[in-house]
Amino acid sequence: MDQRELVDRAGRGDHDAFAVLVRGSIARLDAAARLILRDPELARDAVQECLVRAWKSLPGLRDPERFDAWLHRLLVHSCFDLLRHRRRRVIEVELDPIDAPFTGDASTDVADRDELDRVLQRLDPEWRAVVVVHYFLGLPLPEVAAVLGIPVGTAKSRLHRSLEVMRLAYDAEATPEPAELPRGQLA
Amino acid sequence: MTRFDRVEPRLPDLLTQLAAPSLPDYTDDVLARTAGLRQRPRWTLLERWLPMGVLAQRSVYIPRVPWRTVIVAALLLVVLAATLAWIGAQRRAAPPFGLAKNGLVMYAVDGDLRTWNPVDGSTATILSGPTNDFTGIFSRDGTKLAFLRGEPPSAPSGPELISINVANADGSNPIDLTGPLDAPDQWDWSPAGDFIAVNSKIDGRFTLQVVPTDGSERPRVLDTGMDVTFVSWLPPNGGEIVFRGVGTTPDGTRSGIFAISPDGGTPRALTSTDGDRDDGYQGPTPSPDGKHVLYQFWDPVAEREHLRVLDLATGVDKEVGPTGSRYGEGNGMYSPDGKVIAFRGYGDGGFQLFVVPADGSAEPRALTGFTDGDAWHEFSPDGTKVMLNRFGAGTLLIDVETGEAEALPDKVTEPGTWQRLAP
Repeated sequence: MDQRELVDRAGRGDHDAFAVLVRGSIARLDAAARLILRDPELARDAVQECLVRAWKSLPGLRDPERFDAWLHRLLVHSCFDLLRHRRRRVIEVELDPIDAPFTGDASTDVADRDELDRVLQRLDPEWRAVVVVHYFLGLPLPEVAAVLGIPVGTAKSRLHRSLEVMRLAYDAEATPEPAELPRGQLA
Repeated sequence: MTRFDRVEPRLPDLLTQLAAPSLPDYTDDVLARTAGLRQRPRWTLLERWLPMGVLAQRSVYIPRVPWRTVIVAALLLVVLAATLAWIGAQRRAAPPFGLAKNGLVMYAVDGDLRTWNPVDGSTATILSGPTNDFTGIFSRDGTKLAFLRGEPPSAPSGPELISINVANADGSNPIDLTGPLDAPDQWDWSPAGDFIAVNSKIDGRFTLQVVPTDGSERPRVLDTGMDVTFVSWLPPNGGEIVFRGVGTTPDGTRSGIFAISPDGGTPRALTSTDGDRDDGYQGPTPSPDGKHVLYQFWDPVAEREHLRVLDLATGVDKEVGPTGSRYGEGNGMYSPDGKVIAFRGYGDGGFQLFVVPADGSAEPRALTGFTDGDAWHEFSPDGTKVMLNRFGAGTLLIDVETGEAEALPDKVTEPGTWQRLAP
């Protein structure tokens, strides 16, 4: 059974079809939520909320082909809703990718990954979400904009500025003081 | 080359390493939780492809050319009468709002546009061929029709593209107004018939556009800064276009009902902008006099839809119904004279069609029993019937007073619309 049929059946109340869809998506949703929120427990809450919304609203999804994009949008907004309700409390928890597959030079990968972990923590969630949706979920910028509910120009601007912040951080790695990074700015 | 120049191309891999996607241990918990939750009933959702144009209108009388002489040859008399009849048939135009005479019902079957004559029951194909044409709506004066035509996608995996075309009411002289649009969603004739307003996706966002119906220009974007759905011209003059807008507020992404000049400018909020992004302020439908707007929203706690009518002058906002239906009420449509509202009450297994005086002077009255599946309903131009189009399951013309119904001969899969004629 292809995804379109699964979505159609799930939208008509078939929970078994929904379970198949969930099992095919939840790992990436959970990972994306952890990258955006930097907190496994919050990520769990966001994914649960996202999937509850998805189940309840599936009858309203007109285009089954857009299921993945729709789910990503629900996830990102669940993440933002959680942050908003918790009044943006500081959430900076190290992720522990012990099962991560490694390719190439392991020591370089680990160093780059650890630095990326630190750099991501310096970005505001809105900026982090652009990076995660674009680079981790692999969506082109127009779809990033649609998922986040922002204009394409804003998505481009946020991505560009996020990359500049990351560049500053990587290049400042050798200096004793970290570079001053903008926080709380929105494009 | 800086260190980040080396890192940037590897960001997808590094993020994957960092997040280490794996099946989380709470997967079964999530599934158990959703298994215990009821889905929103499908039939409480507003259908898309709503032809908002032919819903509410008013009429004037256009005088016919008088006899200028009584002393003519019999043959000339016949020729003259025939000529006048032809001119009358071509030029009799209904005004944009108010009661009008019932004309043809138009609908799509297998990519062709067909009409049904309610007077003699005859059907005719007015537009056929290899193209996929569907969802036609007559202009408010009944002289033109606009319809959608499926276009080949620009890429094999690209979105389905659709153009809006305009033709004479008999299907002749079709012209492409818009070129390919990405997912045009709702569209509406201006009261004067000189423009069509439409929303379609641009850069992934539903964007409001207007296009002249003479084919002289391509669509012009009206920048609202919002995701735009449910587009309709505000009666009686069409000085503004009413739409549902979704945008970013300090409280997150929210919805509201707005109006904007067809020339552009800043949208005017007709409601609070506190609606849920998905379920708030759905389906705004102006009354024929432009003084009220029907809309609906879903209450996820009570698990019911609410149909409301907003007085644009006073801001007074009242519930329509209620009918006691399990999932509430929605899909409100005004009669052409604005005196009656037809709407649905959502229950287990489907919906029931109701009518109620727009001034709330009487209780809602059920017109039908429960029916299921997707559907579309609208009033006849003379306001005596409601056409209930159950996509793929037949179309009924239901008498508003008696509830008696007759069926259209064809099974149709898209909304059918009714032509307005001058009385």
